[in-house]
Amino acid sequence: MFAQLLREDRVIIDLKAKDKEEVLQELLSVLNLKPEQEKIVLEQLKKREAIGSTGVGRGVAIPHTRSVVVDDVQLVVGVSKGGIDFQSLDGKPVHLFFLLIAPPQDLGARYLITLGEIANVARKVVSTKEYLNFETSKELMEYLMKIYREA
Amino acid sequence: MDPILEMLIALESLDAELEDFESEEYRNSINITQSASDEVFSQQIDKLKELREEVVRSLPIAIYKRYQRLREKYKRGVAPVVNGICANCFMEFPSALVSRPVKNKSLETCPNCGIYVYWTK
Ligand SMILES: [Zn+2]
Repeated sequence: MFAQLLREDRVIIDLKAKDKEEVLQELLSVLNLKPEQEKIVLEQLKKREAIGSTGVGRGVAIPHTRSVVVDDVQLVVGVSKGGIDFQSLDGKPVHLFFLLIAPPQDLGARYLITLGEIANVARKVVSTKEYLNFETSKELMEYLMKIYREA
Repeated sequence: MDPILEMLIALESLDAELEDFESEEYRNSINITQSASDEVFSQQIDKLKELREEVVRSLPIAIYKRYQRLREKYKRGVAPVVNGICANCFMEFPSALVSRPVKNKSLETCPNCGIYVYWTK
């Protein structure tokens, strides 16, 4: 799933956002949702963060939610070179974001499968922070794909 | 957008998220450093339930009851209409309804399965 969802135009190598809300918005913007849909999804993401940060620690966050307004599973990857305070479990700033949105009902539990795959990729990339060094979306995408394919 | 439709969409999301929290797969994925305990998760579930209650309180009771009945029957209360087709029962909506320029401004249901609908396009 991860490999199918990862797209060059949905990989941001240098996020401009400075805080939590801005980064959610910046990640969402590449999905080109209608303003009304974007507003609903943003609200939902914020609600999800309010119940517990999706900053999972070691510089990674996986903001995610489900909404009727998206018709398929959507993934956006973003890197913040400066890091963003995301109220993570370990208190550290977040540099790598995986935004995942899916409809409430998706056939074959693709959302949960993708979330598991993202977690595996995240576990592998946190130690080196190599993901901070790429100049283009394509390079970062290829790097993540390589990590994903490594057993 | 119709404010009640907006609330139903929020409710549907919260219900889906509550179901996610019940899955071990989900908990493992959002706990990559293994630092969140079961207690943390149960606190988060409680907060999610509070948010859900807030939405429920602001909905007209008849609409909430109907939503609940739909969820019992179809495991969802709101479905998108994609390209004129209800995603719950796959019925094609009449073209006069599909071609309307303004949608989601009032609360609508599928004439076939009765689900609350959200027009995606
Ligand atoms: Zn229907």
